[in-house]
Amino acid sequence: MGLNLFPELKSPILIVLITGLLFPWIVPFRSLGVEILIFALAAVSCNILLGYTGLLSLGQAALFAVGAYATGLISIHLNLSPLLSLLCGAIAGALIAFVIGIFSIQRLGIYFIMLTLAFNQLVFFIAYEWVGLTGGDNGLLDIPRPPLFFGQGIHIDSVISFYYFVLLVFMVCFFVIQRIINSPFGQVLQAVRENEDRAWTVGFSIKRYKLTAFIISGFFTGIAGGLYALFLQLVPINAVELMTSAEILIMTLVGGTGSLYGPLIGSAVVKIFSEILSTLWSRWLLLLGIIYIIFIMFMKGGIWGLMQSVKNWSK
Amino acid sequence: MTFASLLAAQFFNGLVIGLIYILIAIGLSIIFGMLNIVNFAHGAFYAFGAYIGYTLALLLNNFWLALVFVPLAVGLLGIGIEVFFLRRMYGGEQVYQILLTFGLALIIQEIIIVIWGPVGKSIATPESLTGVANLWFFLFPKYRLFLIIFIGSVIVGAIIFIAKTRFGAIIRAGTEHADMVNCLGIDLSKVFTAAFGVGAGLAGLAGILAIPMRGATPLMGDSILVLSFVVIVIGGMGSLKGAVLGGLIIGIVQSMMTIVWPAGSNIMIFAAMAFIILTKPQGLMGIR
Repeated sequence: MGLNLFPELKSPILIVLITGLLFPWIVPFRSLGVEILIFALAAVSCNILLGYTGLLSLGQAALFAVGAYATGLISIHLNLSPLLSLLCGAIAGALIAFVIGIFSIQRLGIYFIMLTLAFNQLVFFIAYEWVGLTGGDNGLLDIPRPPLFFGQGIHIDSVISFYYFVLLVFMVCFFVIQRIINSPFGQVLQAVRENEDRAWTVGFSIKRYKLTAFIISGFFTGIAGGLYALFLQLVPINAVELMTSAEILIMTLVGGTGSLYGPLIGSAVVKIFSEILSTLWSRWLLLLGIIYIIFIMFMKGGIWGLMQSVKNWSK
Repeated sequence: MTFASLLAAQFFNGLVIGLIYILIAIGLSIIFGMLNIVNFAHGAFYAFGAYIGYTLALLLNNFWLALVFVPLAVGLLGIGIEVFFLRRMYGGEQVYQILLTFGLALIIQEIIIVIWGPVGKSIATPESLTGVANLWFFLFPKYRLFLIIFIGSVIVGAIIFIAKTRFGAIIRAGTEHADMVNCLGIDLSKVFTAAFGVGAGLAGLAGILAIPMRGATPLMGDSILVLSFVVIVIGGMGSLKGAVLGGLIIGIVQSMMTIVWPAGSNIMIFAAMAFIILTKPQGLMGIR
């Protein structure tokens, strides 16, 4: 028996929940908490592809933005409960992921990555051009945030109530994603990542598994996008930009691709870090880039991997 | 005929833009062929070339001297990046190499903003090339005419160099079977470094050539990088002739489409990119 610095790592989801509940009372910036959770959901969804299936998708911004546009449009035109408009965002995200995925998985390696990039740009330029639907360059404006349950009951228009609403949605999604990853289906995804040919030889239809992973990623990225639309009450055009895909990837990698907690940590670290640094120095992205490079080159497991090694070392 | 002259002018504008894409795409294509990575930092080399060019042109008070030094400076930057960063990643997962270049692009871009500020810069067209040339039935800026001739010669030179010289032969062999070249006793790591340097230098050259025409902004590399990806995908990744063909197609199509439906050109271009990867992943002139 050695020293155990992180006994709580055995049930990290509780830690996440407790930290999430206490966060607004510890950190003065409440909307920062909302942003962390939204991008954490996007990064966790990205990791379903990157970390668990071995697919580097540059099209995550498209999934995110389509979810945001769908949720925003439903809210504007039908004024439904946010729960329903989020569901629409999720379905829209899953649908666009299906379309992007069914083409992209036909190719491997670089060509797969280039396809996701091409589709992301396609969605960007369509969103940019279709001003009547998306508001184009100005963004989709004036998205209402109606109370939950059809105009009655719980209001989520204050920052703190919206934060807890986002936390609730996040925890449910995170729990579901965890169950998916730990299911036999999730095990097959990891087999695909480790050795595609072998997984195929054992009898799994690689393409079907990749496509399903894509759709699941799109579903939850769509929810993240929907939350973003409700949070900002607008959808800026840069949500579809390649840079958003890059941001999500950076969070995922800095946090660590080896676990679902990695991207969550990554989102929190990147967002808090940039919040602090951006007030000190407007070029904080330079520091973020350097940190990112250090992780890519020397600590591929990200922060989560680092925590695991500390834990193992201290045993 | 005003419409015919508009068409002609747009065609030549497209040719200029296409040639700039080709300069960038050649480096991307060589790097892809040899190292099997897509270099996301390539757009940043282009921007860096433009800014270094801006400073040198002001400092030396001579555009032509700057034109000589910029490719060298950016080439050195490329060599440094290959030696200190990329080389450590060879043999690892390809995904991480790509993500590394992504981070490097971000860093170079931010360094540009730190040094030169977020506002765009511009330098005047060299005096000898100001004004327009009268090309029979339409007028065309002299500088752009110069670009067509100059970049055209650089590209022809690069193709001849790769087709005829020993170093070119090594590069060609390296793009096809890197391991085999290594077995033949050629120090491939030096060739990789040189190839990366040359590619970066060409992107830097494109950068300085572009400022008198388009100015320099810190994010100028972003859109051109993505379009250069389209160029090499359409032409065939790893193929030089493909990069030339792809660059001309994209530049001219983009320019002609601005007459009809400007935004449609982007939608069309990326749809074409997806279509080519799906139906003919080796591109129009690809080798693999």
